[in-house]
Amino acid sequence: MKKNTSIFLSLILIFITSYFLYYKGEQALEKSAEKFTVLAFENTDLNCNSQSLTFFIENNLKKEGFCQVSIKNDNEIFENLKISVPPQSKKLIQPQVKTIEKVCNLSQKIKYQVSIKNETNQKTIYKLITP
Amino acid sequence: MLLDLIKIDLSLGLLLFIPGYSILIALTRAKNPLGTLGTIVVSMVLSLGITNFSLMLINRLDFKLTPLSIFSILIIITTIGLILYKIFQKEKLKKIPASENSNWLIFFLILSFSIFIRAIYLIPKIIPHATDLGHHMYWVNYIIKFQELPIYGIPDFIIGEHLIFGAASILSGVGIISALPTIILFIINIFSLLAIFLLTKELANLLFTSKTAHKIGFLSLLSIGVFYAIASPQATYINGGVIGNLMGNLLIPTIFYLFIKAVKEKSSTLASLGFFLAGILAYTHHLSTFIFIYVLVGFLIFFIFGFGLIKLILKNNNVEIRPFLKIFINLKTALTSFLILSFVFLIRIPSYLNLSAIDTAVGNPSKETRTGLTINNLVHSTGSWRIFYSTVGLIFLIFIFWQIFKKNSLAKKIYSIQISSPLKALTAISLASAWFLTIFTMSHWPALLKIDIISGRIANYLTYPSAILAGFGVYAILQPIFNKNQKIITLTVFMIIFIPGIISGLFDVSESYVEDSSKFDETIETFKGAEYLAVRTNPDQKILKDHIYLTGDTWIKNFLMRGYKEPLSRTLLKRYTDVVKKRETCTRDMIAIPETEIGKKCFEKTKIEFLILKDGFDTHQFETSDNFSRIFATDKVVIFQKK
Repeated sequence: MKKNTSIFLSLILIFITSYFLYYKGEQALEKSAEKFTVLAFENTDLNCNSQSLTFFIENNLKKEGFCQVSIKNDNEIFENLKISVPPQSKKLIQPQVKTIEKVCNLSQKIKYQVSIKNETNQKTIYKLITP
Repeated sequence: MLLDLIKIDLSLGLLLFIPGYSILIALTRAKNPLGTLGTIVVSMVLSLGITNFSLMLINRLDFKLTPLSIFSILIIITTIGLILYKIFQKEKLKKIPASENSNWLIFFLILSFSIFIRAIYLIPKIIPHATDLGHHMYWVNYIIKFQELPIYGIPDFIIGEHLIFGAASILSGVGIISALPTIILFIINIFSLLAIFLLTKELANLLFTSKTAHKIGFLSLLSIGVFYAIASPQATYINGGVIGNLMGNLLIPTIFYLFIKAVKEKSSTLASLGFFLAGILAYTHHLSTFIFIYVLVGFLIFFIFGFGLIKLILKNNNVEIRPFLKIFINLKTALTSFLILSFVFLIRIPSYLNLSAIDTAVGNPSKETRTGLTINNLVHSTGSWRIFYSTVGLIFLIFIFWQIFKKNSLAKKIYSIQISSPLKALTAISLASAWFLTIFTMSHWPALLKIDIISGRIANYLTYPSAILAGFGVYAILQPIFNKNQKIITLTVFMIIFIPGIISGLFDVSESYVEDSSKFDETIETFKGAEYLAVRTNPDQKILKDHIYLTGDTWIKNFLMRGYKEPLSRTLLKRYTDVVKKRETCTRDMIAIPETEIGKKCFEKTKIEFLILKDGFDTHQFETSDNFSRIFATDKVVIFQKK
């Protein structure tokens, strides 16, 4: 192999590898963003009634881009609670099933334990305590 | 994506090649003795320096660092270079004699394999997550966001570490939350391998025939590029964002390459370029500069001692040092030094140039980690195969030195020794030996040289000189056997040398695949948490993060951009018990014991309102507390708000 050919090919290889690293980096950033669920609430002013909770969850879920939210009726307070959030174009995962539980403790402090559960991840990911 | 790649391509071309090439050909004109590869490597390093100095100049003149200002200044410099080249080009370019073509396939194969090993290590970890890189990228982001250079206020960071990343991001429009920083570090690392190859070849050229010099260069490239390619300061440093070391390891061999070329070609222009690159080094990394100065002093001691011996034994009055000194002490080098000093005083002073920072690095070792590494530690950090053959190489170079005094010997014939000038040979031997021995002494007996720096950090610099010496060492053993042309013995010795090298040198590659790379995906969840905090909190609301468990936590500050020390961080627990430097403990206590009196007082004192933690790691106390709400959650990252 001629000297200049070898050097030229080496430079081409360095650049191709750099491109490939960049491509893999972008791909990894996009893929990883799809892998997990994110849910965030900013309003902590809640009352223990279905109306405010409906508004609260709907409002926040909308912001995070969730759709097709269904709620398991574990407690009579939420018997008629149905939330429908229009689909949005965000890239976040859209969980299939979500469960919302309410726990009122003895000292009358109200705790909402909101569990977001999807097919692959059975974890409680949100807790909000209200005085 | 394609558009991004084109933008990166054009930006890096402008930042890392074009201005350097233009200035190089303007300075060397028809007398460029660097050859194709040398021109490419020097142009790249020179461009890095020109970009750094240009950005500092733009900032000093109170212009904003915009794509237009950066593009314009680099194009102006390039044009000036090309005009000067055209004006002063009186004779046609001298064609450099073509070297043997047959060996260049080996060069391509070794370099390809070096690139391949690094790439397969980097791909699973390509999401930006490393602690050091996160810290550095804050300052890069500062340059991008505010379009001006930061005043650090701490000696830990030097402007040269950040400018190229800032310029690349501003020009290409690709942000730092991408693989761009890693790509730049990858290119820097690969070019440092090329610099080592060139330097070894030139050193060997002063002692052996050209064909032999090529062989030694390839052996050295194999030692630095393929063996121990993952260990520090190689791919691990690219991934970890150890910018200063990587740049230092590119600049130091390139400076020495230019000095050696200057000696060989009696070119004060190349010596001046070396001085200029030394100036860039000073603006890039304090430790590398510190080591560079020590190595130069070590070289001078070796050289003066060797020169004395040559004078004494040869009794030859023709061995004159004056023409030698003229290469380095002349108008061109004086002007270059003046230019650099003017920059220091008029444009920007490197942040570490103050008495307290110097006092921290010089003196008797103040901590256990600074009292020196054992030989075992050094062998482990440099690589057992490499250190063994570098020791052989060192002995071999002393043997070569002895050959200066002999007119004809069998060794000269066997090893194809060709010494045109005793002083040039002495320069090559002194540089290779002093570089290795100085760093060895600095990391093994720091007290001897009054060095108060973590010994492990210095030891990382042993890799490059030992790779050069290993090239000589392997050649010293192989050549006599190759010379006898006995195929079975040759093959056996060849295998005895390289099989341990492959086992030892590639062990870290196999080891790195055991590592679970999925944890790096967690970084994205940290980024989402950081984005959430950046949008939903204001600068008055204080945040605490957990450095112990949270992946990519140092990158949070890049989303907030509320100062280098924001958010506060719970650091590694051992650091809270540092006897030398007593530090606050609130950042630890607010996460570990938030409900105790100590914890509550800390919250009151620091005004922390939000905590970003890894789910399941010290989060239970917040889950069960009535004083904290979990306001954000992903699979691995949670944010609590204090009520």
